[in-house]
Amino acid sequence: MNILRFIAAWAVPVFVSIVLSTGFLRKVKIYDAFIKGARQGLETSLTIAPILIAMFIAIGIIRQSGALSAMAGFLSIFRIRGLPPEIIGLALLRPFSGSGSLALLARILKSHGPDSFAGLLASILQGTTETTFYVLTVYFGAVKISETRHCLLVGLGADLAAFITAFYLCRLFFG
Amino acid sequence: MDQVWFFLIMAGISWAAFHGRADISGVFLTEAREAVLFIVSLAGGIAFWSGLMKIAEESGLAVFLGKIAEKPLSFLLPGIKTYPRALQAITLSLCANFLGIGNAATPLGIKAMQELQNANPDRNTASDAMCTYMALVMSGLTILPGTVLILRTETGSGFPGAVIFPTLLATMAGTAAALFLDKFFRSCGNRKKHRRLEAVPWKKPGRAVGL
Repeated sequence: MNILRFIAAWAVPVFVSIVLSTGFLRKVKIYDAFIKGARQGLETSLTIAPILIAMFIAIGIIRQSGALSAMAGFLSIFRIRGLPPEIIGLALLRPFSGSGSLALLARILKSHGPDSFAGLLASILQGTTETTFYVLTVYFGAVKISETRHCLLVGLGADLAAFITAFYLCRLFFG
Repeated sequence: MDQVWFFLIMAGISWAAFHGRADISGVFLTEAREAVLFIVSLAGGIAFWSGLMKIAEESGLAVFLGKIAEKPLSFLLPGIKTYPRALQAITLSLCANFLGIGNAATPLGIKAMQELQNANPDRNTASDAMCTYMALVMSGLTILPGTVLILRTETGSGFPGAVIFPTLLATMAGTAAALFLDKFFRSCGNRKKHRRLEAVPWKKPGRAVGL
């Protein structure tokens, strides 16, 4: 665990050092390049902002209307052996909102304990896939493409595959 | 995206109306504000990583990494070799994803999409290469689930790292599924509409990439 903490603490400074040194040694105008790149980064943020507004609104409406909890409640009728109902809510929310599912994970960890079956499974679910809708809308929105073909299905299919795998792995490893 | 967005919002409003939840009227402005606060909180980080990556690009580090990733990426994205800028952009963005640096992954991913868009014969539709690249990104490539580990430690776990290996396996399963589904849907589409976007030779960019 301490090795991980060590790596996590030093990874970024080491990486920055490598990039700066490589640039400096190859006679790159590193300061100018940084400013230019940072400016592009700010422009990127500006480009993303309206896309996020549209997405946050859609996700917010779905969450606040209760449709998502109703869906989770409905799905938990199918009592899969050993699958706690809060996990279904997490699995439904994960492709929509990374921060929302993180908050839900925190709640599950606090109420069930981080080392319980529910806590472990929820932790795996949170870490396993990206927030599908966020990635899809931001990446395609930035190049102004609205015809995304099968990408949404692929993303959701991947999420489903990852979640099912996570459930059976959890059963296998943690019984 | 039009349909998805319309469906999400209308479904939410309809459901709320049916159940008499008038409190959703505040959601529009609240969420719009949250979105702006969110991007503002990220903007600094995004600017920092974009600046750093520009140095990496100009120093040739990106080309170096691109050469390493050329073989596996050529297998997944046929034709990418003829467009080295896209290759480098994709490689850098995948590295950022592996390391779990969200603030670097987003602008790098957007850059990769822009380079792919330059080679896209139909500018309004996602190209095959874009679909495969998105399959990789959406399925998640993070090796260490940092935030989850922190949360587990904070909530008093006896062994926070217990989830690392299963998460890795599940992520790999998700990525494998994504690539398989992508290949599957693409071949379905090809037979139906005879649209082989990847068969169109990659053209050199006619204009510079800008935001």
